[in-house]
Amino acid sequence: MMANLQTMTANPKMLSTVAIVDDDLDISNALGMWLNLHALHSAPHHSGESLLSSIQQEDGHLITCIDKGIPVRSQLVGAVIDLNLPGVSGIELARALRTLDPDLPITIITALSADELAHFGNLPEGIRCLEKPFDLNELENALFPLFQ
Amino acid sequence: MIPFDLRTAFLIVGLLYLLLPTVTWILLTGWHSCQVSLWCSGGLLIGCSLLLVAMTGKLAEWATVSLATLVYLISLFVYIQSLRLDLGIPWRKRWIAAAVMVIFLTFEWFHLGLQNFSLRVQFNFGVAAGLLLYLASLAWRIGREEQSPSARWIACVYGLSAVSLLFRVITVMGSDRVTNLLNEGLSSQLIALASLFSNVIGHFGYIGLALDRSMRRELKAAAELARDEEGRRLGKQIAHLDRQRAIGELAASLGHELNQPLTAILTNTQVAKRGIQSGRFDNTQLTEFLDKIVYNTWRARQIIERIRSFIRPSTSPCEPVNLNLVVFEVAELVAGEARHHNITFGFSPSIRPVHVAGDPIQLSQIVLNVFRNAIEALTLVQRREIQVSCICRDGRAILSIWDTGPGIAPEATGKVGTAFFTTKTNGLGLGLSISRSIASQYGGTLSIANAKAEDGGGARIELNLPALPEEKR
Repeated sequence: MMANLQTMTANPKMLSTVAIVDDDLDISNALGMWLNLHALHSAPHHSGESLLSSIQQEDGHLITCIDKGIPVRSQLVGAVIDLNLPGVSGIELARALRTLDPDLPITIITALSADELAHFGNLPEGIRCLEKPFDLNELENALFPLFQ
Repeated sequence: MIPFDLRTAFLIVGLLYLLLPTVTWILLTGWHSCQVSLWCSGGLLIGCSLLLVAMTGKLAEWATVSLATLVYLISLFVYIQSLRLDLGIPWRKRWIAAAVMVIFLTFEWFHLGLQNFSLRVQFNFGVAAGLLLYLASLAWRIGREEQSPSARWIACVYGLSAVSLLFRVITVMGSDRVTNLLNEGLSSQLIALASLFSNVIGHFGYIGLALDRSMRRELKAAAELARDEEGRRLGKQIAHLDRQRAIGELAASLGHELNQPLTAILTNTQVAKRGIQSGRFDNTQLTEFLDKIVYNTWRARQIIERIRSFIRPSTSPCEPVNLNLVVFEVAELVAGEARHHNITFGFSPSIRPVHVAGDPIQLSQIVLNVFRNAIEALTLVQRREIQVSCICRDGRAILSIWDTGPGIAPEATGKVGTAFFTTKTNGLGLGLSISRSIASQYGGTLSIANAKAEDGGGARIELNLPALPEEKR
C-alpha cells in the first residue's frame, strides 16, 4: 500500500508529514521508519501541546516544521496520537486538530483496554482507536484515505 | 511439761534456722535475686536471734533479750522487704531503719525506763505478731496473684507464728512477774513449735514458689516465642497478600507498560519485513531493526521480571540493598499509573549508593505503598508531583517521599498507619501498617507527616533505617 500523496498535498514540492504524538521514543521511532518506507515524513512530538504549538494554518492546510538537520516546512497530512499523553489527552488533541482541519486523517493508539478508554470520553466522529500492539495494515486502514 | 529444757528447743530451732536458709540459698542457685538473698538472710537472722534466746542464763541479759529482740525485729523487716520486692512495692531502706530504731527504743524504754517487764513483753510480742501477720498477708497476696499454693503455705505458717505470739501476749497480760521466753510453759512451747513450722514450711515453701515461678517464666517465654513465630509467619503472609493485591490493582497500568515494548517490537518487525520485501533496506539498516527488537524484548522481559519478583513470597533474606535502586525499580513499576494521571516524579538519588540490610522485596513493598498512596491522593489536586530524596546521615539511611496532594487531615494524623484505619472508600487500611512493621523488623521507623507548604504541603513519608557500613556490603 502506497501513500496517496496526490490527493493530500496541496503543494507538490512540499514534504508530506504525519505527526506521531507518543511519549514512548521506541514506538515513535518505529512509526517514523514506517512512514519513511512509504515516502512520508514524521513529525514526532511527545505531547499534544508541543504539536499544536508547531502548527500554522495556510490556505486551509496545516503546516508544521520538521527537523531534517535544519527546520523544514512541511504539510501535515495525518496524525497518529497516543491516547494517554502528558498534558492534553489524545482525544482532546484529536478534537483540536479536527477543528483546524476537518478532513485530517487521525488515528488514536492506546495501550489501555476498552473500559479504561471510557474514562477519556467519546472519540470524535470518524476517528478510530487502535489498541497497542497494532498491525501496521490496520493503522493504514484507520488513516484512510492517506494510504490506499 | 516438756521433758527437756526449752532452751534446747530454741537451740535446735535456731540451728535449723541457720541450716534451712543456707539450703534454700544453695538450692536456688541460678535464680538468685535480691528477694531470694533477703529471704535467706531473714532466716539466718532469726536463727541468730533464737540462738541468743537459747543462751539465756549463759550470756548477759542485754544479749539474750535486747540483742535477740533487735535481731528478730530486723529479720522480720528483711522478710517483709523480700516479699514487697516480689510484689514490686519495696519500702525505702531508711524508713525501715527508722521503724526498727523506733520500735527497739520503745522496747528498751519499757525495759530500762519503766522497768515494766510485762508491758515490755506485750509490746515486743504484739509488734512481732503484727509484723508476722503483715508478712502472712503479703505472702497470701502473692499466692493469690500468682496462683501459687507454696506462697499460701508460707502465709499460713507465718499466720500461725503470729497467733502463737499473740497467745503469749495474752498470757503475760496482767502478770507483773519478771518473765522471759523460757519461763512461760505453754506459750513458749507454742512459740518454739510455730517457729519450727514457719522455718521448715516457710523455706521449703519459698523454694516451691521460686520453682513455680521459674516454670511459669519458662512456659510464658515458650508461649511468647510461639506467638512471635506465629505473628512473624502471619505478618509475612499478610505482606505477601498485600503485594499481590497491589500488583493486582496495578495490573491495568502494568499491561499498558508491557504493551509499549510489544508495540515497538511489532511495528519494527513489520517495517523491517516490508523493507526486505521491497528491497529497500540494506544489512546495516536491518541490523538496526533487529537491535531495536532485541532491546524492546528485554524491556518487556524486565517488566515481567519486576512483577514476578515482587509477587513471589519473600524468603526474608537480609542482604545489602541499595535504597536508590529500590526507589528506581518501584518508580518503574508505577510509571504507567503515574503517567496515566499526569504525575511527575522528581527523584534526586544521592551520588553514593545508600545501602541498608533487608529484603529487597519487602523494602520495595514499603516504597510501592507510599507511591500508590501518593498517586491516589494526587488525583484529587491540580499540581501533581512526587518528590523523592534518599540520603545517608549519621549512620541512618533516610528515604523521604513527599507529594503535592491534599496531605493528611488533622483528625487522621494520629491514626494514619495503624491497622485497618483508612480514609479511602476501597482501602483495607493495611498498607502503611504493613510498611511500618517491615520497617521496624529492620530496626527502622516509618513516619508520616505533612510536608512544608513550600514543598507542596502534601503528605511526607520518611523511612529511616540503619545504614549498612561500607565494610559489610
